[in-house]
Amino acid sequence: MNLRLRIALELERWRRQNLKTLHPLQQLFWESTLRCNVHCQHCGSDCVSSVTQPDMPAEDFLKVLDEQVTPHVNPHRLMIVISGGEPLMRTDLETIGKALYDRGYPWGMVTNGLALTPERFRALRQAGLRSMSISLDGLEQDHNWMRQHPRAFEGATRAIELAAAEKNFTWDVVTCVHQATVDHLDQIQAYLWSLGCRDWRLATIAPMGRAATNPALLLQPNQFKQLLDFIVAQRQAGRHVSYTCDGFLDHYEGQVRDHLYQCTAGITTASILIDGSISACTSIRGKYYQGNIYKDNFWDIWENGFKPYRDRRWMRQIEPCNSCSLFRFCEGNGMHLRREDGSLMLCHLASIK
Amino acid sequence: MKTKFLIRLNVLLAALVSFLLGCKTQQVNQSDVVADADTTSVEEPTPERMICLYGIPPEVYQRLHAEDSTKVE
Repeated sequence: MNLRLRIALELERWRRQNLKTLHPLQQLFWESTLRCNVHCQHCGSDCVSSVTQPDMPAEDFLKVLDEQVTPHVNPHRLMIVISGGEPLMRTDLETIGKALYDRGYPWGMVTNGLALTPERFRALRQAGLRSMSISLDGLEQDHNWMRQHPRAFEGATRAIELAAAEKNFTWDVVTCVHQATVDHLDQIQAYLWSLGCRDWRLATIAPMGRAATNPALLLQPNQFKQLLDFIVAQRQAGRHVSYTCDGFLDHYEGQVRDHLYQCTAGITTASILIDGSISACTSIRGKYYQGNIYKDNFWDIWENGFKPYRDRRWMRQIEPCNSCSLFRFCEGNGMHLRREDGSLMLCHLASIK
Repeated sequence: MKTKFLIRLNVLLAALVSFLLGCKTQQVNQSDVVADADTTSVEEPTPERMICLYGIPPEVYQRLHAEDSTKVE
């Protein structure tokens, strides 16, 4: 790590500490459904086609917005992200989107694209859809295997084509890289660029949900470095390819993302989960819930809660953070990588070293 | 007063970080600024809207609108 990067990291650390004090709510995820039309090998939410947990009624979410969020924020500056499961499984998605738009909130969604027809996309755009992340985890065989659906690749491709043809629309493709696809990144890149994609985010799979029982989905350390080196080369070639916000990456910081590492969970990001639980990002479950909208005031929780997220010194008591000289920059990695007992599922730094 | 100071300090820190990293676009996340009023219409989303984790940083948004994203190489 050179001196320039070190200084940048120290300044960023200072900025992050200030941000914890300010904690402006900038992103609000809504886990609108756990239903899904595919059955991804790596699903962190363990989503299925039919579930015992019903969708949250839209009016419940909107009530929280109207009564507990809107009085405290500028809606134009709070992005609402509708996630799942697969949000397109909700037939009222357009109605919900329009309701958010009418309230002044920009909104977006994460989708596998399978159910995104041109007609549905048009309706969502008219309802104010501002941005979209489309999941595509490889070329046809690999993606269909990953999604456990024979037409998953076809659906994702169609969604990408629809997005690429749209003006004034923010979108990207997210790819979860695993052992079978890390050697095919060049081909995947060429395919995406042929469809008009110009923003590609690469993610690695965390050992949670269904991925916890499938080690083939997790990259080995040398493969992780191979992935990061690929991203560095792509960016040097002028293509906007990034690693996701996961993990502090030591000397790769400043080279594989547009920003330095930051876990914004509980600092600028919150989520309302399917059962009303108040969390930070939707991957964070269980012990780290801060309350529930059906018995707590969301804004009170946002203002006065999220203590484990905003003060992470408790992680210093747990390996490997207790002996790490870079904790000041990493702060224990992403909160979604913490088990209920506080132990860390994955240390990106260890993979790099 | 303290809030405004921290906000302005953060804007400065973000700019310094961007300078050190040689970023072409500022890493300033203007959502750090508590706006008294924002007359920006939802029809014209501003770069500072960011979807974390699955999302798109402001710099990406700016870049997308600086070029034709449908152009194929």
